[in-house]
Amino acid sequence: MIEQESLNQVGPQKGAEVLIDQVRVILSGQEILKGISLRVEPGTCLALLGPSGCGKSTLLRTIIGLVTPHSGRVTIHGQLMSRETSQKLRKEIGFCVQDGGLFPHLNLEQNVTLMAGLLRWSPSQISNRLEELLELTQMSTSLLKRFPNQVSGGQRQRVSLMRSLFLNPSLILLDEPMGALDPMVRSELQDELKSIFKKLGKTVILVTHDLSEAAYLGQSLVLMRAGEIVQQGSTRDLIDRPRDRFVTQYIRSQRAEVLL
Amino acid sequence: MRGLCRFFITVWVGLILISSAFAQRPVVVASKKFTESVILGDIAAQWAVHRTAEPNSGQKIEVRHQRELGLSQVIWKALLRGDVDVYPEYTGTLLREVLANRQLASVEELKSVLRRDYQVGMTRTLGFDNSFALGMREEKARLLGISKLSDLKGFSNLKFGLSHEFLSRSEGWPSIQKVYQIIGQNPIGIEHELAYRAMSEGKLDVTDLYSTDAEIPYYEIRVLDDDLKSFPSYEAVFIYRLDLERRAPLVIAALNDLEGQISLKQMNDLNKKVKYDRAREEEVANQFLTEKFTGRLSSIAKFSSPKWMDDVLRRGGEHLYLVGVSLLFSILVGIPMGIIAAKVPWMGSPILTGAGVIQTIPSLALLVFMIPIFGIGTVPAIAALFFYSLLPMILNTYTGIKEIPETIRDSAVGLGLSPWQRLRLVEIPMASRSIFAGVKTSAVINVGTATLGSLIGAGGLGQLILMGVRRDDLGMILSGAVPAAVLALVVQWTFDWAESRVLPRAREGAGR
Repeated sequence: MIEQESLNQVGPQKGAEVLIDQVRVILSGQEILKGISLRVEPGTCLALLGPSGCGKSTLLRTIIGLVTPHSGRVTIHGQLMSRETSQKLRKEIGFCVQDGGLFPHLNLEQNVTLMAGLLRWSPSQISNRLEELLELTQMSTSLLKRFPNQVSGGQRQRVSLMRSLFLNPSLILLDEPMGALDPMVRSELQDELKSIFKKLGKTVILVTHDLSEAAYLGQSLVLMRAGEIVQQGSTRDLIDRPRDRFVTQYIRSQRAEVLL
Repeated sequence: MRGLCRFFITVWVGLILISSAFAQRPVVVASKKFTESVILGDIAAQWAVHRTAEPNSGQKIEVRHQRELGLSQVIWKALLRGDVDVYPEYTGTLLREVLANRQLASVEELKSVLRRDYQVGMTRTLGFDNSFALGMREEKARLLGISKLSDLKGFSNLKFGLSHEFLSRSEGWPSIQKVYQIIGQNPIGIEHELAYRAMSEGKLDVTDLYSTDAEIPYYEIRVLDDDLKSFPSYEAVFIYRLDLERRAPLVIAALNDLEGQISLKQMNDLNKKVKYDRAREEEVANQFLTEKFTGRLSSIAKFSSPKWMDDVLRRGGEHLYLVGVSLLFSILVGIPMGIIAAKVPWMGSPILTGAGVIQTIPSLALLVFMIPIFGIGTVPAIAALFFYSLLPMILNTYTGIKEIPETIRDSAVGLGLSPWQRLRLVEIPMASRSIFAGVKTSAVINVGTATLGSLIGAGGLGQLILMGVRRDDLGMILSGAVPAAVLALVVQWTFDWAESRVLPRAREGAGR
């Protein structure tokens, strides 16, 4: 079992508060986000849901500054995300893309420790942190010298998570982390994620199109459609008090009532 | 990446060392691209080899004959630059063409100006004057009673077909027309080589010629007497760099030996042997020297059978040098340009279009474009090859970077890597396979294109092909073409091997 204190050896990092204020994003003439406002409570997991093309991934990319909003602002921990601050802010954000986004020319260990090395952590600091994260993500040390394409999809996803957690960020962004995994691995990883989130107390924003995953991991759900938020609330809220027919249809299409 | 760099540097230093060993600077005798010049070049080169090979000469000098260079100005500049040490020239060409703007009055003045202002020496005449002349078919001339140029005045119905050069040069048609008052003639421009044939078929009556032309006896031409002395004299001489006095005095001695030794009739005959008896210039030159200087045969005979393998090796060395150096520069320039094209959105299109346009220039034309800028020899050839190999280099770098999956770009940004770190740690390593393929493509293309380098005096295996084509000698063509093809394969294999050994393990499908 991992001690909370030891994980915080690189400085205590509690969850950050994320404020999204009237964010509009226009990409190649198309309005992808139509004035989104959202507050993510420190230390909670928020799940962004919706059909593909609804803008949930773009919202995530806007939060980390990969997309610059046309108007509106994103604030993390009270700091405005902008061209000037992005480089610094990103070091406090862990970011996992859909397929893990591991660099294929680096082995798993190099992938995970890349940033720490560049930030001139000492070798002992790096190896200690690596140990902790291996335990946290249930990864075996023997895999570390392998290259991303030599391990399974689930392992890649764990490594990607390790990489995003390495600098002990206060905010974790996950873009469809379980997208390409088979159901068994998927549920196993969901269990792990849930326990990791709980242990670390970070703020997490999770993009998914799977309602059960959102319900399982997220304290709060945000359902989006065509660049707008349709409804925000707990799973129960969405099922029992749907804002409109779209919410009901979306839930029914996922056959989620059976699970809940 | 570091391993990759080290590999390249090692290979290049090696290549350049190997090829510079082959390319040690000998005494270079050059010739222009017409038969007479090549024969004179061979005579000079062989005799110089013979003289410097004498037992007590105390000098071990390699003498090379750089054949078939382009125009007078090209070879003259090469002489001044030191690419060429000796070449056969005509006094008239020097006075009226090469140094026309100096307005020199006499050969004596020419000689002293060459020595003083250009550090170039000039021999006395070799014994013949290859001046311009006008000629007619013997039969027709006899019929009309024409034997000198002033006789032409009365015949306004003669058909004149003159070479383009003769028509445009001030001492050519414009001067003749004035001096001999040939009025009412409208000469047509025709290739010199075709004029004789046209005349023998009766389509032309009068053409310009050089007094040593092999065709004069062959087609039974009457050379009309320049009775008013309108044509300047074109005495054949050798001109040479004065630094030979220090570097190889025996070469100058050899040139002096040849003064006054070749009569107009003999030159006519030598030209005819090459042109109509299909003898090789070396043989003709060798035969001439043997007859002229009996008793001094041994080392001449040796020269006439050049060691085939040595020639192929030396040409191969030159070839590798051309390819290696041009490739090095195109890597140094092409890869950064590819990166800029991929990373700076508004630069992408101009860079790729520019490189594409260069690629559409035929390689021969590109080589010729380089001459005004870089002169002749290795440098312009390397420059042309450099431009030619830019596109694959730029395009592959560009594509390699553009093809990196978006999720990986996002991850790199999301991790907090700076733009420079992303380039160095992610983008270049991931594009390295593609970049490497670009280098390989460029190298293989360059091995092929470099065969054209011999046209502008850069040597290489193309020289063997050129000479073979000129002499209709299949063996010689193959001795250039086969090694060039083998070299291309070797380059390809070397790169394939290096690719499997050195490149980062950028495995496909990673993260899928």
